[in-house]
Amino acid sequence: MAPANKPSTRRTPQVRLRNYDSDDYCEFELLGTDVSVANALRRIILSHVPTIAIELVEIERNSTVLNDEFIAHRLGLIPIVSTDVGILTSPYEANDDKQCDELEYELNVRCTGDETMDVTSEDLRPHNSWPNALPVGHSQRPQGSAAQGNAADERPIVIVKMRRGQELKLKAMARKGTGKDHAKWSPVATARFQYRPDIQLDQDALSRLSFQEKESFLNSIPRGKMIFRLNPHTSEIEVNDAEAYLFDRQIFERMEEFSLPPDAITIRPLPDYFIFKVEGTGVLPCATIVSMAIDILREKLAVLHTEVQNQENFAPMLSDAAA
Amino acid sequence: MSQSSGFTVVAERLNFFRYMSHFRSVHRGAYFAQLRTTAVRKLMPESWGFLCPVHTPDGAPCGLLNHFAAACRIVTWPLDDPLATRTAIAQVMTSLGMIPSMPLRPIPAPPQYTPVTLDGIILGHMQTSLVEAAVARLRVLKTLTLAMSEVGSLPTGTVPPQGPEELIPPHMEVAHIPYARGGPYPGVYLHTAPARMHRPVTHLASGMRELIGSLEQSHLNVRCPDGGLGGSKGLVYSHAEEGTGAMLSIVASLTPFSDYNQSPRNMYQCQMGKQTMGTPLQAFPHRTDGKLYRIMSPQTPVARTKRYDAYCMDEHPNGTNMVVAVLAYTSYDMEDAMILNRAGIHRGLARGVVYKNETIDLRRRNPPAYLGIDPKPPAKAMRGGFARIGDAEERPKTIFGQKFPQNEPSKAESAAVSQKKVQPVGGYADAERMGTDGLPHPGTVLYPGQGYYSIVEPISGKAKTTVLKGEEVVNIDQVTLLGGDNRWAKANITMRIPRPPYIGDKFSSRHGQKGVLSQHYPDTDMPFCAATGMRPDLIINPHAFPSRMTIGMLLESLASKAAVLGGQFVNASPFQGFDEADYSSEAATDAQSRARLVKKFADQLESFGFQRHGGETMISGITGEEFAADIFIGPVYYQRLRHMVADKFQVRSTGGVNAMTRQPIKGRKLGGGIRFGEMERDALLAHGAANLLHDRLHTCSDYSVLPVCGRCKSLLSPHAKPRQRNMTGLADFGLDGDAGREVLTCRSCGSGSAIEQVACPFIFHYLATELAAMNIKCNLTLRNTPS
Repeated sequence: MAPANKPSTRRTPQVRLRNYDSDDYCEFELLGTDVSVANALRRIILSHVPTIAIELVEIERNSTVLNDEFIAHRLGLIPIVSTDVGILTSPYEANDDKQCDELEYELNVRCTGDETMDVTSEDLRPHNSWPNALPVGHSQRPQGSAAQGNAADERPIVIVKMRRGQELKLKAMARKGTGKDHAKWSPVATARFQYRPDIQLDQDALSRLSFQEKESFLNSIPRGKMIFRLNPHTSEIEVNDAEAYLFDRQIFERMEEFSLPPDAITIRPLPDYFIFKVEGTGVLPCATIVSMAIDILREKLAVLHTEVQNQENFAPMLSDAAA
Repeated sequence: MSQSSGFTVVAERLNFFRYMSHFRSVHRGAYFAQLRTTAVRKLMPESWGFLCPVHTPDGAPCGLLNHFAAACRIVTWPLDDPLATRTAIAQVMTSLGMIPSMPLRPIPAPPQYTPVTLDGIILGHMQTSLVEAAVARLRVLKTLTLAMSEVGSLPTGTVPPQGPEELIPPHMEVAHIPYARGGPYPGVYLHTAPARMHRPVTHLASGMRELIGSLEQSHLNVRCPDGGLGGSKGLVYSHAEEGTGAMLSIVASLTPFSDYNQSPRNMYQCQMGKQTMGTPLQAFPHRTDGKLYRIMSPQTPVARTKRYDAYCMDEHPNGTNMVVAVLAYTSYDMEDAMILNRAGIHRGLARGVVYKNETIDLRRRNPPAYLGIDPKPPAKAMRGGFARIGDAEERPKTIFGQKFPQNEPSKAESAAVSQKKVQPVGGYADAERMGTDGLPHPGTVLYPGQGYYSIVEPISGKAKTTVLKGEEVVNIDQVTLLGGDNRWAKANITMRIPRPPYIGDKFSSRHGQKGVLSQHYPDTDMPFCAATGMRPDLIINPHAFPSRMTIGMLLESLASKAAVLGGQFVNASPFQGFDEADYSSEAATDAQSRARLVKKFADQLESFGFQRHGGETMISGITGEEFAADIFIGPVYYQRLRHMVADKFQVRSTGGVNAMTRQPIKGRKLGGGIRFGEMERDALLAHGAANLLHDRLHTCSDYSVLPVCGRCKSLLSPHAKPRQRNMTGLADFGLDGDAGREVLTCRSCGSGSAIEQVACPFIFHYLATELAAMNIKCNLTLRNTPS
């Protein structure tokens, strides 16, 4: 269901915040812009917003049931609070003046009790001057940290389980990176947008149905009672919550079954109205993720812009456009 | 018996399915494999419920290699006291009206009288009119003795067996073949001997469990829960199956919704389930098998059959629940290829490990040897050993120039040095990987060509280091030493090869739908559900379904989706709903019961706000636009099969050649090529690709430049001989540049003046030689030779 009519080229994009109850979830509307911008934003959130994750692991002793590379992999996937990521240097950004930042962690656990012991992200001891870069849900979280969450429902992440006599001693090194290189650096669980449906009702066509028929028609549609409501006074179907509609075909199938004309209900996605939902993992507050993503997008466009301007071939075209 | 081999098979521990199946299989014999008649391969009525109709290989051994149904048992042990039991059976039969056989007294012929035999011996005969009651009584006694042995007590109200009746074995086969014109010889055939199959069914008259044998079964009317009235009017059932899945073997009964699939697909799944990289065992640290496959983050299937739980298959999990979207996307899912989400792979999806074991047997060495290192380092090792710290240049490099990330030698202040007295770096070859005992350190990363253990020959005192073969990087998992008396007899080195999903690896769902991984697709480019933002782990092509008709897979996806949303597992047993169906009528038809099942899942999905039939609106991850069609998406349990590119890829630019023909050798291990055969040649000819053909068959094969004497027209006569020294004495001052260099001379004309260099396949030279051996001369006319 491609956007039916093209939006005008002159746009004033708008962002309306809808829901920002916790740092781990946000919902906003992006209006007055094109799919390309919306999708670019989504893609950047998923794979270009930098975070911190463990990248190198040096294992000194490991007598647990999990092998070395498996533990290293698990360590890499532990989300680490990345509020300091802006001032860090990734290996790609490093040059002669700036060195790649490496955040060290140590883990040294031995099980001495008879019961199975959980080695968790809590046992990971930071060993550097980045006090904020702790695993998500770590009890040592500094006060006033941007990543706020309910500590009660955040439990440390289990790395491996141990029995008596088993031991794990290692050094880990975290680096700044992006989800493009490895999914462990992705700052979100998911980031998505959906189109807002525009529902038009033809009351004349719908009036063929009796009140009872209308009711059973709505009942037969998935979420029918959420999308529409039946006005008991006028006995007309009205749009209740257009967003509850998920662009599925079933509504049209039902319309056929109830022998309604195909234009009784017309639904099209609005081409310049996107509802964004961002679910964070706790490494960064969602608001930061989105604003960082917009910065990155702007930076990329700036790079493109300068490149285009530097190309002589483009110069006449640019002057034409200006005129 | 014409067979002299094949009586044993190795119980492979590839995964638990395979291991288990080895103990539940029977082969009809090699003789029948060559037989042209297919009668032996058919599933006969007497095999129903004993041999699985699904679990047999496709192709040559089809129907000859069978697997037992899950409930089928074999009598493996003779009776404790055969004489007492047989006497008791004879007594019981006599009490039921049998006239015991006596010497010199012939048995009267049927149909008035029916003979009674026990294990092939005639016990006696009885009046045919009495047989039915006697057999009925025997069945009751069987159910009673079975209940005694299984439960230990009898249900209230039943009369316990008395005296000799107590000795009736519960597995005794009571085959009553009634008189029929043209039928088999009538009689009551009793069997108690071992090596018989038996299976439990419900004895309808008593409502208790009875074990029946295969001959017995052919003359009983056993009701099947989904069989309705059985097809013939007025048929009176004497027994009933214990469940709808009674005919299936263990492996076959683990296929979810297998009753919705086209039947060969279930057979394929039985094969592929046994090729899966799974969890063959749990005692990995204590095992030294030659090769073991293991899946690293296995899951329990969301859609599972009742037997899955009954057999505790969670102890040996075999796959992963993947979110599968069925759509044609990017064309990388054509022809049974499949696209995996790269982010999923990064998070450990379908990651596998191969354990390989190398056993060093020191006892078998002659002269005896011991593990250890060369005390005196070779010159090369001196350089490599001492200069190793800090000298990065000494490390091996890959073809792209980057260093292998070597294990850094432990530092002098490390715990290993203070506690274990391990030297940080040795002055011997391979000191980074190997201890002074000649064995590798556990945890070492080993690259091909690196030495990892070393054995000393005591006579010479020289050590011989073995290097890693193959082309894969391995981790040393552990080293086990065996032996005593201060001498090690054996050493086992377990190596671990990580096998993340790679392009070309094979995967399969549980419905005979196999596919090859074709792309690791970026998470951002994957399509996503508009409602939930979910990106699929796996994309398969919709064309995989119409011709194969694996509706079970679609239903598994639907059922799993509904189950996952509700946070539950779902029963995916085949023939659901028939167990409770009303037998008295044909009302519970196939279609009705199936529609009910689909409706159940659809209703569940709808209640969670999803579309009834598993479709979802999806948005392309590349453009951000909605797809015109709804996409069928849901979780399906996928197995990773053991066929991996890492074990199979074969590529060659140059390499070894056959000494005689100078053509490339064959064989993957030797770095050989793949034969470019006649049919391939035909294809290139048909395309007119002459240059390519010449490249394949000549330039990349046995291209050689050979000297031919134009005067003698011979390929064989030119030969090289050292140039004669001239007498000027210049050679002594090194001024005779050509001295000692070879010069081509023709043997037959004694001159080298007409020798020309001709490019031709070396095999032609070989042909000329072979012809010469037969006194046939091969004349070569060179165009630019003065004749």
